[in-house]
Amino acid sequence: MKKKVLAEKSLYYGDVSMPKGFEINRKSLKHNMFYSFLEEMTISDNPKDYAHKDYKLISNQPLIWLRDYLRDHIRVKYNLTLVERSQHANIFRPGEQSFLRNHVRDLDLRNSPDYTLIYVVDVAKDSCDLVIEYDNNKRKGNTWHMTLENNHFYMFPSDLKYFISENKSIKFNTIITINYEYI
Amino acid sequence: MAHFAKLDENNIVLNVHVVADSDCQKDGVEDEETGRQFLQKIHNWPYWRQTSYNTYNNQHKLGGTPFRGNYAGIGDQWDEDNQIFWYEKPYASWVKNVSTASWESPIGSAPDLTPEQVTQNESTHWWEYQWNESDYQSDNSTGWVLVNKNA
Repeated sequence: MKKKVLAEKSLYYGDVSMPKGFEINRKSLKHNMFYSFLEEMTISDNPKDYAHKDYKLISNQPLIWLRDYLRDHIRVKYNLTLVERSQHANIFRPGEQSFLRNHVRDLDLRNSPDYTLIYVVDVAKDSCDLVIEYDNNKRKGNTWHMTLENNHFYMFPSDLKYFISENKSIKFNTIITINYEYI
Repeated sequence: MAHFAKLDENNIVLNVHVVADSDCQKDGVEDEETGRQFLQKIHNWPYWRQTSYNTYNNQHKLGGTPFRGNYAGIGDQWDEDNQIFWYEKPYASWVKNVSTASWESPIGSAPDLTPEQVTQNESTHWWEYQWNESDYQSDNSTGWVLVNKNA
């Protein structure tokens, strides 16, 4: 008797464990994110587009080092060679939650990402969850909840719909999203 | 130019980077620590070891002096004690040979092909000994299995 896995939906997550003294400067990331937020540097000008609330990520050294860490470690640990396709920042006001969305465009699969990674720059403790919807064969619409923690990443297939739950704190929550193609 | 392996905290090779000679020289002489400091500054990462592009199984392809056993590859393990980059262990039972910087079967190399098999390889067959880990686990005097890859 044998078993063959034909497809899988996996969630990869963990902390960004830089060596002591070399930690990611999340304050610097956050500074750039708020600059983009305050200058209304949105990915899309169309208010009906989900990307209208996504903000451009201004590149800086800590962002490059973060991307290096994620690329190198995910490749070695999971044998996934990832190439970035897009990235953006999200800032959630108190009481705000994200759209339920995914990052695959059905009419443009060629240019759609394979994996979506969320990196938590700064959120208040226990203030919000990442909620991912997935199907388990005929059992449709299951959800998986994970409380977002600072300096942690969460990566999942880009076709899965997800949202960031309501910000229950009184401060602004900041996260980065990176979309990857794997080769 | 020089090559440096980027290591994680468990000495696994994460990546290999190339550094210009001018960035890893001290007083005109190649210096690993200078290269390491250069990379640390650029990549904000402290663990680097120089590796030789031309070294494989502790031999230098161009006849020079081998350096650290093997050219580092992504996923390889850095062995600080023996100063060797080890590629992935091919089978659970295989053991390290430090002098050749390679993995060897616990019962030695594969037997030589017979003259008849060598002759057949030139025409109709492709005889080759392959390692069968299951065979070895059930009887540790066996492991090498002769197969015809043209079959």
